[in-house]
Amino acid sequence: MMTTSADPQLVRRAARGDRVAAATLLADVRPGLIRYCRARLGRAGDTYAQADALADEICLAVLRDLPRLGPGMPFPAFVHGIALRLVAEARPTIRGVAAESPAEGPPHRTAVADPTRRLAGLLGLLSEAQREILVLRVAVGLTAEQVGTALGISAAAVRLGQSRALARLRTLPGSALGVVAA
Amino acid sequence: MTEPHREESEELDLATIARDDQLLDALGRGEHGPADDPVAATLAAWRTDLVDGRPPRPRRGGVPAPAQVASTRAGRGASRLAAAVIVVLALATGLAVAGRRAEPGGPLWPVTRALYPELAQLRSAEQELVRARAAVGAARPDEARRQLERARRRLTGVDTADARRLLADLEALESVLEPATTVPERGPVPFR
Repeated sequence: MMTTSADPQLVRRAARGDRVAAATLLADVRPGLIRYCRARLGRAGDTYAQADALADEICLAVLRDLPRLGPGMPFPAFVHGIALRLVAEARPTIRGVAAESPAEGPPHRTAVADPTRRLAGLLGLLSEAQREILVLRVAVGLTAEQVGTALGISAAAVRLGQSRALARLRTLPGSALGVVAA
Repeated sequence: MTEPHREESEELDLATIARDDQLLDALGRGEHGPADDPVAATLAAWRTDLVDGRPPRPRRGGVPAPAQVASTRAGRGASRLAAAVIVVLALATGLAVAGRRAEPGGPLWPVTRALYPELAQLRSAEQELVRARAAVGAARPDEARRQLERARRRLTGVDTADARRLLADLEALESVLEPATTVPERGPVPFR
Protein backbone atom coordinates (compact mmCIF):
# COMPACT_ATOMS: atom_id res chain seq x y z
CA MET A 1 0.00 0.00 0.00
CA MET A 2 0.91 3.69 -0.14
CA THR A 3 3.11 3.09 -3.08
CA THR A 4 2.60 3.16 -6.76
CA SER A 5 5.59 1.16 -7.89
CA ALA A 6 6.71 -1.33 -5.20
CA ASP A 7 8.91 -3.10 -7.72
CA PRO A 8 9.27 -6.64 -6.32
CA GLN A 9 12.99 -6.70 -7.08
CA LEU A 10 13.46 -3.45 -5.20
CA VAL A 11 11.51 -4.85 -2.25
CA ARG A 12 13.63 -8.03 -2.27
CA ARG A 13 16.83 -6.00 -2.33
CA ALA A 14 15.60 -3.80 0.51
CA ALA A 15 14.57 -6.85 2.53
CA ARG A 16 18.07 -8.28 2.08
CA GLY A 17 19.57 -5.14 3.58
CA ASP A 18 20.29 -3.06 0.49
CA ARG A 19 20.13 0.44 1.95
CA VAL A 20 19.77 2.26 -1.33
CA ALA A 21 16.77 0.09 -2.15
CA ALA A 22 15.37 0.75 1.33
CA ALA A 23 15.81 4.50 0.84
CA THR A 24 14.06 4.35 -2.51
CA LEU A 25 11.16 2.45 -0.97
CA LEU A 26 10.98 4.96 1.86
CA ALA A 27 10.75 7.84 -0.60
CA ASP A 28 8.09 6.00 -2.54
CA VAL A 29 5.93 5.03 0.41
CA ARG A 30 6.01 8.16 2.55
CA PRO A 31 3.81 10.64 0.64
CA GLY A 32 0.95 8.12 0.40
CA LEU A 33 1.36 7.21 4.06
CA ILE A 34 1.09 10.85 5.04
CA ARG A 35 -2.20 11.20 3.16
CA TYR A 36 -3.42 7.92 4.64
CA CYS A 37 -2.68 9.00 8.20
CA ARG A 38 -4.20 12.43 7.61
CA ALA A 39 -7.35 10.79 6.25
CA ARG A 40 -7.58 8.30 9.11
CA LEU A 41 -6.63 10.54 12.02
CA GLY A 42 -7.68 13.97 10.86
CA ARG A 43 -6.34 17.15 12.35
CA ALA A 44 -5.34 17.64 15.94
CA GLY A 45 -6.18 21.25 16.55
CA ASP A 46 -5.62 22.93 13.22
CA THR A 47 -2.76 20.83 11.96
CA TYR A 48 -1.94 17.39 10.69
CA ALA A 49 1.35 17.36 12.62
CA GLN A 50 0.44 14.29 14.66
CA ALA A 51 -0.82 12.38 11.64
CA ASP A 52 2.38 13.26 9.79
CA ALA A 53 4.49 12.09 12.72
CA LEU A 54 2.61 8.79 12.70
CA ALA A 55 3.33 8.42 8.98
CA ASP A 56 7.03 8.72 9.78
CA GLU A 57 6.68 6.12 12.52
CA ILE A 58 5.05 3.78 10.02
CA CYS A 59 7.90 4.38 7.55
CA LEU A 60 10.41 3.44 10.21
CA ALA A 61 8.42 0.36 11.22
CA VAL A 62 8.31 -0.70 7.56
CA LEU A 63 12.08 -0.36 7.28
CA ARG A 64 12.66 -2.16 10.57
CA ASP A 65 10.40 -5.05 9.66
CA LEU A 66 11.50 -5.38 6.04
CA PRO A 67 13.98 -8.20 6.75
CA ARG A 68 11.06 -10.23 8.13
CA LEU A 69 8.97 -9.77 4.98
CA GLY A 70 8.29 -13.28 3.75
CA PRO A 71 8.26 -14.19 0.07
CA GLY A 72 4.51 -14.86 0.11
CA MET A 73 3.54 -11.45 1.48
CA PRO A 74 3.01 -8.68 -1.11
CA PHE A 75 4.70 -5.43 -0.10
CA PRO A 76 1.50 -3.33 -0.28
CA ALA A 77 -0.27 -5.73 2.10
CA PHE A 78 2.77 -5.66 4.38
CA VAL A 79 2.76 -1.84 4.56
CA HIS A 80 -1.00 -1.70 4.94
CA GLY A 81 -0.89 -4.16 7.84
CA ILE A 82 1.67 -2.03 9.67
CA ALA A 83 -0.28 1.16 8.93
CA LEU A 84 -3.55 -0.34 10.18
CA ARG A 85 -1.91 -1.50 13.38
CA LEU A 86 -0.18 1.77 14.17
CA VAL A 87 -3.22 3.88 13.28
CA ALA A 88 -5.34 1.72 15.59
CA GLU A 89 -2.77 2.10 18.36
CA ALA A 90 -2.60 5.85 17.82
CA ARG A 91 -6.33 6.48 17.86
CA PRO A 92 -6.76 6.32 21.64
CA THR A 93 -3.98 8.84 22.16
CA ILE A 94 -4.40 11.10 19.17
CA ARG A 95 -7.78 12.68 18.90
CA GLY A 96 -9.38 10.97 15.95
CA VAL A 97 -11.40 12.63 13.28
CA ALA A 98 -14.40 14.00 15.10
CA ALA A 99 -17.05 13.29 12.56
CA GLU A 100 -19.62 15.90 11.71
CA SER A 101 -22.92 14.25 11.23
CA PRO A 102 -24.03 14.93 7.68
CA ALA A 103 -27.64 14.26 8.47
CA GLU A 104 -28.04 16.69 11.33
CA GLY A 105 -28.57 20.40 11.50
CA PRO A 106 -30.30 22.74 9.13
CA PRO A 107 -29.08 22.32 5.55
CA HIS A 108 -27.70 25.81 5.23
CA ARG A 109 -25.45 25.26 8.25
CA THR A 110 -23.75 22.13 6.95
CA ALA A 111 -20.94 23.87 5.11
CA VAL A 112 -18.15 22.47 7.25
CA ALA A 113 -14.85 24.25 7.10
CA ASP A 114 -12.73 21.13 7.51
CA PRO A 115 -13.22 18.78 4.53
CA THR A 116 -11.54 15.89 6.33
CA ARG A 117 -13.86 16.19 9.29
CA ARG A 118 -16.83 16.41 6.97
CA LEU A 119 -15.65 13.31 5.13
CA ALA A 120 -15.25 11.48 8.41
CA GLY A 121 -18.94 11.99 8.97
CA LEU A 122 -19.77 10.71 5.52
CA LEU A 123 -17.39 7.75 5.71
CA GLY A 124 -19.00 6.84 9.02
CA LEU A 125 -22.09 5.88 7.05
CA LEU A 126 -20.17 3.20 5.17
CA SER A 127 -18.96 -0.22 6.19
CA GLU A 128 -15.39 -0.46 7.44
CA ALA A 129 -14.27 -2.18 4.24
CA GLN A 130 -15.92 0.42 2.01
CA ARG A 131 -14.35 3.21 4.06
CA GLU A 132 -10.89 1.70 3.77
CA ILE A 133 -11.33 1.26 0.02
CA LEU A 134 -12.28 4.93 -0.47
CA VAL A 135 -9.38 6.10 1.70
CA LEU A 136 -6.92 4.01 -0.30
CA ARG A 137 -8.44 4.91 -3.67
CA VAL A 138 -8.90 8.67 -3.17
CA ALA A 139 -6.63 9.77 -0.32
CA VAL A 140 -3.67 7.53 -1.14
CA GLY A 141 -4.37 7.29 -4.86
CA LEU A 142 -4.01 3.55 -5.38
CA THR A 143 -5.64 1.74 -8.29
CA ALA A 144 -8.33 -0.87 -7.69
CA GLU A 145 -5.72 -3.58 -8.34
CA GLN A 146 -3.31 -2.10 -5.80
CA VAL A 147 -6.06 -1.75 -3.21
CA GLY A 148 -7.00 -5.38 -3.83
CA THR A 149 -3.39 -6.45 -3.22
CA ALA A 150 -3.21 -4.35 -0.06
CA LEU A 151 -6.46 -5.72 1.34
CA GLY A 152 -6.03 -9.27 0.09
CA ILE A 153 -9.17 -9.21 -2.07
CA SER A 154 -9.78 -9.19 -5.82
CA ALA A 155 -9.84 -5.98 -7.86
CA ALA A 156 -13.42 -6.88 -8.83
CA ALA A 157 -14.40 -6.94 -5.16
CA VAL A 158 -12.74 -3.55 -4.70
CA ARG A 159 -14.72 -2.12 -7.65
CA LEU A 160 -17.97 -3.50 -6.30
CA GLY A 161 -17.24 -2.14 -2.83
CA GLN A 162 -16.33 1.31 -4.08
CA SER A 163 -19.43 1.52 -6.27
CA ARG A 164 -21.59 0.54 -3.32
CA ALA A 165 -19.88 3.18 -1.22
CA LEU A 166 -20.46 5.86 -3.85
CA ALA A 167 -24.07 4.76 -4.29
CA ARG A 168 -24.57 5.17 -0.56
CA LEU A 169 -23.06 8.65 -0.57
CA ARG A 170 -25.21 9.61 -3.56
CA THR A 171 -28.33 8.94 -1.52
CA LEU A 172 -27.40 11.86 0.72
CA PRO A 173 -28.80 15.31 0.02
CA GLY A 174 -26.36 17.80 -1.46
CA SER A 175 -26.47 19.83 1.72
CA ALA A 176 -25.10 16.89 3.68
CA LEU A 177 -22.14 16.83 1.31
CA GLY A 178 -21.50 20.47 2.09
CA VAL A 179 -21.39 21.59 -1.50
CA VAL A 180 -24.53 23.65 -1.77
CA ALA A 181 -24.08 26.00 1.11
CA ALA A 182 -23.03 29.49 0.16
CA MET B 1 -27.21 4.27 10.12
CA THR B 2 -30.41 6.25 10.22
CA GLU B 3 -31.77 5.28 6.85
CA PRO B 4 -31.84 2.12 4.79
CA HIS B 5 -29.06 1.58 2.27
CA ARG B 6 -30.63 2.25 -1.02
CA GLU B 7 -27.71 0.73 -2.89
CA GLU B 8 -28.42 -2.66 -1.35
CA SER B 9 -31.66 -2.85 -3.25
CA GLU B 10 -30.26 -1.22 -6.35
CA GLU B 11 -28.75 -3.13 -9.17
CA LEU B 12 -25.19 -1.96 -9.76
CA ASP B 13 -24.74 -2.31 -13.49
CA LEU B 14 -21.36 -2.80 -15.10
CA ALA B 15 -21.42 0.62 -16.72
CA THR B 16 -21.86 2.31 -13.33
CA ILE B 17 -19.08 0.22 -11.84
CA ALA B 18 -16.74 1.15 -14.69
CA ARG B 19 -17.69 4.84 -14.46
CA ASP B 20 -17.14 4.88 -10.70
CA ASP B 21 -13.78 3.20 -11.17
CA GLN B 22 -12.67 5.86 -13.63
CA LEU B 23 -13.92 8.59 -11.33
CA LEU B 24 -11.94 7.25 -8.36
CA ASP B 25 -8.85 6.82 -10.54
CA ALA B 26 -9.12 10.50 -11.49
CA LEU B 27 -9.74 11.64 -7.90
CA GLY B 28 -6.80 9.53 -6.72
CA ARG B 29 -4.58 11.38 -9.19
CA GLY B 30 -5.74 14.67 -7.71
CA GLU B 31 -8.08 15.54 -10.56
CA HIS B 32 -11.59 16.88 -10.18
CA GLY B 33 -14.64 14.90 -11.13
CA PRO B 34 -17.60 16.06 -13.21
CA ALA B 35 -18.87 19.47 -12.14
CA ASP B 36 -22.41 18.18 -11.65
CA ASP B 37 -21.42 15.40 -9.25
CA PRO B 38 -21.56 16.65 -5.64
CA VAL B 39 -20.07 13.40 -4.28
CA ALA B 40 -17.08 13.76 -6.61
CA ALA B 41 -16.69 17.41 -5.59
CA THR B 42 -16.71 16.46 -1.91
CA LEU B 43 -14.15 13.70 -2.41
CA ALA B 44 -11.96 16.01 -4.51
CA ALA B 45 -12.07 18.70 -1.80
CA TRP B 46 -11.10 16.06 0.74
CA ARG B 47 -8.16 14.90 -1.33
CA THR B 48 -6.99 18.50 -1.85
CA ASP B 49 -7.21 19.14 1.87
CA LEU B 50 -5.17 16.03 2.65
CA VAL B 51 -2.46 17.08 0.22
CA ASP B 52 -2.05 20.73 1.15
CA GLY B 53 -2.83 20.31 4.86
CA ARG B 54 -3.72 23.94 5.46
CA PRO B 55 -5.73 24.84 8.53
CA PRO B 56 -9.44 24.63 7.79
CA ARG B 57 -11.28 27.71 6.65
CA PRO B 58 -13.50 29.27 9.28
CA ARG B 59 -17.22 28.90 8.95
CA ARG B 60 -18.98 31.85 7.46
CA GLY B 61 -18.67 34.83 9.76
CA GLY B 62 -15.73 33.32 11.60
CA VAL B 63 -12.26 34.72 12.02
CA PRO B 64 -9.85 33.68 9.28
CA ALA B 65 -7.23 31.22 10.44
CA PRO B 66 -3.62 32.31 10.18
CA ALA B 67 -2.15 30.93 6.99
CA GLN B 68 1.54 30.85 7.75
CA VAL B 69 1.44 27.51 9.55
CA ALA B 70 -0.10 25.81 6.58
CA SER B 71 1.92 27.27 3.81
CA THR B 72 5.17 25.88 5.13
CA ARG B 73 4.02 22.41 6.15
CA ALA B 74 4.19 20.74 2.77
CA GLY B 75 7.57 22.26 2.08
CA ARG B 76 8.93 21.13 5.40
CA GLY B 77 7.68 17.61 4.81
CA ALA B 78 9.21 17.51 1.38
CA SER B 79 12.55 18.83 2.57
CA ARG B 80 12.60 16.38 5.47
CA LEU B 81 11.96 13.55 3.09
CA ALA B 82 14.62 14.78 0.71
CA ALA B 83 17.07 15.11 3.58
CA ALA B 84 16.22 11.65 4.87
CA VAL B 85 16.76 10.10 1.50
CA ILE B 86 20.01 11.98 1.02
CA VAL B 87 21.27 10.78 4.38
CA VAL B 88 20.26 7.19 3.79
CA LEU B 89 21.74 7.14 0.31
CA ALA B 90 24.89 8.86 1.43
CA LEU B 91 25.31 6.41 4.28
CA ALA B 92 24.74 3.58 1.88
CA THR B 93 27.52 4.79 -0.34
CA GLY B 94 29.82 5.45 2.57
CA LEU B 95 30.10 9.22 2.36
CA ALA B 96 31.45 10.63 5.58
CA VAL B 97 29.32 13.76 5.36
CA ALA B 98 26.16 11.75 5.90
CA GLY B 99 27.07 10.71 9.39
CA ARG B 100 27.51 14.29 10.44
CA ARG B 101 24.07 15.23 9.20
CA ALA B 102 22.25 12.72 11.34
CA GLU B 103 22.91 13.87 14.87
CA PRO B 104 21.25 12.56 18.03
CA GLY B 105 18.07 14.49 18.62
CA GLY B 106 17.85 15.69 15.04
CA PRO B 107 14.85 15.03 12.82
CA LEU B 108 16.64 12.25 10.97
CA TRP B 109 17.92 10.55 14.07
CA PRO B 110 15.13 7.93 14.17
CA VAL B 111 16.02 6.94 10.61
CA THR B 112 19.68 6.57 11.51
CA ARG B 113 18.86 4.63 14.66
CA ALA B 114 16.57 2.24 12.85
CA LEU B 115 18.75 1.64 9.82
CA TYR B 116 22.20 2.00 11.30
CA PRO B 117 22.20 1.06 14.97
CA GLU B 118 25.98 0.79 14.97
CA LEU B 119 26.40 4.25 13.50
CA ALA B 120 23.89 5.58 16.00
CA GLN B 121 26.01 4.20 18.84
CA LEU B 122 29.11 5.86 17.40
CA ARG B 123 27.37 9.22 17.02
CA SER B 124 26.06 9.07 20.56
CA ALA B 125 29.50 8.11 21.90
CA GLU B 126 31.02 10.98 19.94
CA GLN B 127 28.66 13.43 21.61
CA GLU B 128 29.37 11.98 25.03
CA LEU B 129 33.08 12.44 24.44
CA VAL B 130 32.46 16.07 23.51
CA ARG B 131 30.53 16.50 26.74
CA ALA B 132 33.24 14.68 28.71
CA ARG B 133 35.87 16.98 27.22
CA ALA B 134 33.83 20.02 28.18
CA ALA B 135 33.36 18.65 31.69
CA VAL B 136 37.11 18.14 32.05
CA GLY B 137 37.69 21.69 30.86
CA ALA B 138 35.15 22.96 33.36
CA ALA B 139 36.80 21.02 36.18
CA ARG B 140 33.85 18.68 36.61
CA PRO B 141 35.61 15.29 36.75
CA ASP B 142 32.58 13.33 38.02
CA GLU B 143 30.48 14.46 35.11
CA ALA B 144 33.36 13.68 32.73
CA ARG B 145 33.66 10.15 34.15
CA ARG B 146 29.92 9.58 33.74
CA GLN B 147 30.07 10.60 30.09
CA LEU B 148 33.14 8.46 29.49
CA GLU B 149 31.49 5.41 31.05
CA ARG B 150 28.47 5.86 28.78
CA ALA B 151 30.64 6.28 25.73
CA ARG B 152 32.67 3.19 26.61
CA ARG B 153 29.50 1.10 26.93
CA ARG B 154 28.38 2.25 23.49
CA LEU B 155 31.73 1.50 21.89
CA THR B 156 31.98 -1.98 23.38
CA GLY B 157 31.52 -4.52 20.63
CA VAL B 158 31.76 -2.02 17.76
CA ASP B 159 34.90 -2.74 15.82
CA THR B 160 35.34 -0.13 13.12
CA ALA B 161 38.02 2.45 12.43
CA ASP B 162 35.72 5.17 13.79
CA ALA B 163 35.08 3.19 16.96
CA ARG B 164 38.81 2.64 17.49
CA ARG B 165 39.47 6.36 17.01
CA LEU B 166 36.78 7.25 19.53
CA LEU B 167 38.12 4.68 21.96
CA ALA B 168 41.59 6.22 21.70
CA ASP B 169 40.05 9.64 22.43
CA LEU B 170 38.19 8.15 25.35
CA GLU B 171 41.33 6.62 26.82
CA ALA B 172 43.23 9.87 26.41
CA LEU B 173 40.52 11.64 28.38
CA GLU B 174 40.55 8.90 31.03
CA SER B 175 44.29 9.22 31.43
CA VAL B 176 43.87 12.91 32.15
CA LEU B 177 41.19 12.14 34.71
CA GLU B 178 43.04 9.30 36.48
CA PRO B 179 45.04 11.41 38.89
CA ALA B 180 42.19 13.52 40.17
CA THR B 181 44.51 16.21 41.48
CA THR B 182 45.87 17.02 38.03
CA VAL B 183 42.57 18.26 36.69
CA PRO B 184 43.22 21.85 35.70
CA GLU B 185 41.32 24.45 37.60
CA ARG B 186 40.37 26.58 34.68
CA GLY B 187 40.44 26.89 30.95
CA PRO B 188 39.80 24.33 28.25
CA VAL B 189 42.10 21.36 27.94
CA PRO B 190 43.62 21.07 24.49
CA PHE B 191 43.17 17.47 23.50
CA ARG B 192 44.33 16.02 20.22
